Amino acid sequence: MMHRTRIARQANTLLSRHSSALFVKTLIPPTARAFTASAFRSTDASGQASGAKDPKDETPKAQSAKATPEAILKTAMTFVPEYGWTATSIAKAAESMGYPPILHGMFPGGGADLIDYFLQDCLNRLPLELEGRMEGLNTAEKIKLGTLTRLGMIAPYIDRWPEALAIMGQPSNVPMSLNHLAKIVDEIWHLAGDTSADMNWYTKRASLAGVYTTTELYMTTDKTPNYQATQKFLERRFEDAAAVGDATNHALQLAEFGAKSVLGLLASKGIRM
Amino acid sequence: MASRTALQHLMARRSLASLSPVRTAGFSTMTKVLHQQQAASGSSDTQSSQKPETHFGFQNVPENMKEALVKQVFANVASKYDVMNDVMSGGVHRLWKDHFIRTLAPTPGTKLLDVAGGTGDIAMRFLDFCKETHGDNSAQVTVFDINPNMLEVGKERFAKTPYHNTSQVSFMEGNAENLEHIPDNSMDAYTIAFGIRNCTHVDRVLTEAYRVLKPGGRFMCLEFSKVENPVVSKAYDMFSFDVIPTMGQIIANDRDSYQYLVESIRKFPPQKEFAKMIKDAGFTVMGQGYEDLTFGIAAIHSGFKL
Repeated sequence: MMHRTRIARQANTLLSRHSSALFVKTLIPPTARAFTASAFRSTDASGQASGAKDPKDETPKAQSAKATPEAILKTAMTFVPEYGWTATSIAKAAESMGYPPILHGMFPGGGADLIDYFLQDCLNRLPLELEGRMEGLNTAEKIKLGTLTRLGMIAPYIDRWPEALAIMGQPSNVPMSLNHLAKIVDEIWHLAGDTSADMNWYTKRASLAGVYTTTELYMTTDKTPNYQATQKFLERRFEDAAAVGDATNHALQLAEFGAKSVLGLLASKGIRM
Repeated sequence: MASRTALQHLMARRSLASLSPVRTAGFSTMTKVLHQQQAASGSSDTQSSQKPETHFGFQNVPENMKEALVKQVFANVASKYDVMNDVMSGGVHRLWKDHFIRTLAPTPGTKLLDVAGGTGDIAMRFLDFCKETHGDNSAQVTVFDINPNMLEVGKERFAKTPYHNTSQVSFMEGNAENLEHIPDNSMDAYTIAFGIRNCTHVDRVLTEAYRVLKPGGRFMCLEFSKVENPVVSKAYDMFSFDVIPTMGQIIANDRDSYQYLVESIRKFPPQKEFAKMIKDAGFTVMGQGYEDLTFGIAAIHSGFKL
């Protein structure tokens, strides 16, 4: 319980303007709105289960709720602060919904399946979080806001995030994590209004992916209030990225100049290329 | 073919050494049962052709006879069942069953109904898993089988373990198509390993499984399946039809029973079809709903009652 209040506070403060909205959405992800009826009934069932009533009594309710796999994972998210990204969290969720814990077998990937669900959920929520907040900002500011907002979504689970990173780094899960990273940076650039269709498309996403992952890692060790250190860290990374971008441009110009000079030199010797 | 002649030599020598009345009795019991049943059901061909038929290996038999025939097969092989499994699969069936239980990953206090589990192979692994993984002594398993001979083997095996005479294990005789003594919504998990293909009405078995499972319970089935890889399939067919019945004769003194076993494997619906049957019975199936083991020689099917 202590955990949850603390992380809720952190989530609140990190995102100044829409903080309360984020807080609510974190606890009730958007999927819940689509399944409101089942969500209500499942809380019902959990109340019953804890009361250890006659199983016959409980059955028809659980049946009528007919939880979807997503609903189980959504409930499992509330157990992550306590039990981590594990099959145990899923089993606890099943129990709280009035099902036998063996239902965790629906997700043979265990923690990885839970992370996959969470990352997809964040991706779906990002445009909603950023709605109307990008106006009047320049591209760099939009990217910064997008990145910060996305990072804020892991704040409620920050104590368990190193564990998630470890799971994502396991060889069998690497394709899943890279896929999600690609989606994250693409979504941020897209929301910032990027319409590039040249080599830029790749370099922009690659550099943001670098910035995002390093900042995410830094954030897991950040104990400052409101994640101030992380915000500063992120700014420095953007400066670096810009500097690298400039350096690349300079290098390219220099190379071009060099090549042209050589060609000119050769031409002056009567050799035509 | 060299191996075949060697086996035939071995067979000939063995049959000389162990020719006994018992052996000749056991050898063609199945055909005998078939004849008896046909005689009992009336001799006219027109009558029997009107009755619904089902497959028994590659033969077609009237539906009401399959149960008796299957019973006979397993009465014949019960005492040698586990040895034969080892010989026929080179011990791989142990790996499959271990993987099966790991996939089930029972949580503390799980109540399992293991249908067609006579010799207790799955039940033992289940209880061991709960003990070793969770230090849990509250998990319970009901070993259910149609065949008293198979159940006897299971009881003997459990008698040598600490589970003997505890509430953790119980035995029940009955038909998987009718679990009348097991109440609705009473089980956390239902397993059936290498059993469902011997049932006359697979759909009824699935319906009963659905009925006895609690909401949120898991149905899991380990069964021989279809090998898709053509090269492996060819080798597997040769092994099944040439080697296994012969080994059945040498080790268990019963060629017919093992001939039936390999034929029944070919008659069982392939992975996708069976997954669809599970879905049709009302289960929620994740992804394709099954996992192939060893090129699809066996497969684990899974369904959840939601």
